[in-house]
Amino acid sequence: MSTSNNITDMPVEMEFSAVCDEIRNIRSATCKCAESVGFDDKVVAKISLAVTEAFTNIIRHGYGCQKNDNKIKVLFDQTEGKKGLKIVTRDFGCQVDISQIKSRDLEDIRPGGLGVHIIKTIMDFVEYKKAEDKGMILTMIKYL
Amino acid sequence: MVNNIAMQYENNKIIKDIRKVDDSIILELSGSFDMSCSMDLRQELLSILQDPPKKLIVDMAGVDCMDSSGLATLIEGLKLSKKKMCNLRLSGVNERVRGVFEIARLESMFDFYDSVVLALQ
Repeated sequence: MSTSNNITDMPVEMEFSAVCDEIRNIRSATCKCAESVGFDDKVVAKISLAVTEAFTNIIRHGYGCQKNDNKIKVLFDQTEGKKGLKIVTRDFGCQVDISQIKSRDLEDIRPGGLGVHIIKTIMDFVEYKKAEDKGMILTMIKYL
Repeated sequence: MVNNIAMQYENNKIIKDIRKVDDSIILELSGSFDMSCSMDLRQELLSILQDPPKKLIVDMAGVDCMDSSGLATLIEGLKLSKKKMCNLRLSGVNERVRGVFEIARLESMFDFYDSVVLALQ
């Protein structure tokens, strides 16, 4: 994990290796940023869960079984206007057809199928975009 | 009566202990239950359910957080335990972890108990 700023001094951009061992680091960073915006503990935990889901979806679907030194960049920033937290993840893996990114039918549950549902349930704004060259950009906002 | 078949999982990220109490097995978890360790638990659940006990109690009192990988693993374990006529119960689930079940709208699928003692009854 690398960071360009003090974590509570937003905006802050961090870079993570796309590996499971980084989950605790992305979770920790998200909690610190959400707390600094003023969310209560319960909402902090939910935002942390949403970001963890986004992170693990990138590992699983964006990079799949690639064994390269894959990176995930995460930007934390305060929203303009109405107070909130904006989180942008950027990966450099496979580009996904945005129309195919949807919550899975809850009757059809298997490992990895619940992440998008959880993200969309927790966050107030969720937008997936294809990056210009490769990879995906996911923007998530939670308002206070 | 507790049969002393307890196993310590010092190197396992999620499984702290497995023990047998009469005709039940208690699977004690600890730490963060996420993608980094969900496969470990999946393998253990599959192993236990090859020779299913009457009750399988997953003690989650030591689990501080869980993501969808953890939840999906529990769902897979629940589905298999039903096929094998084993009663899978969750005990000691804290509010934060319970919230994941709520968000996924899957709370009603599971039987929750406040403690292992209550789950054994």
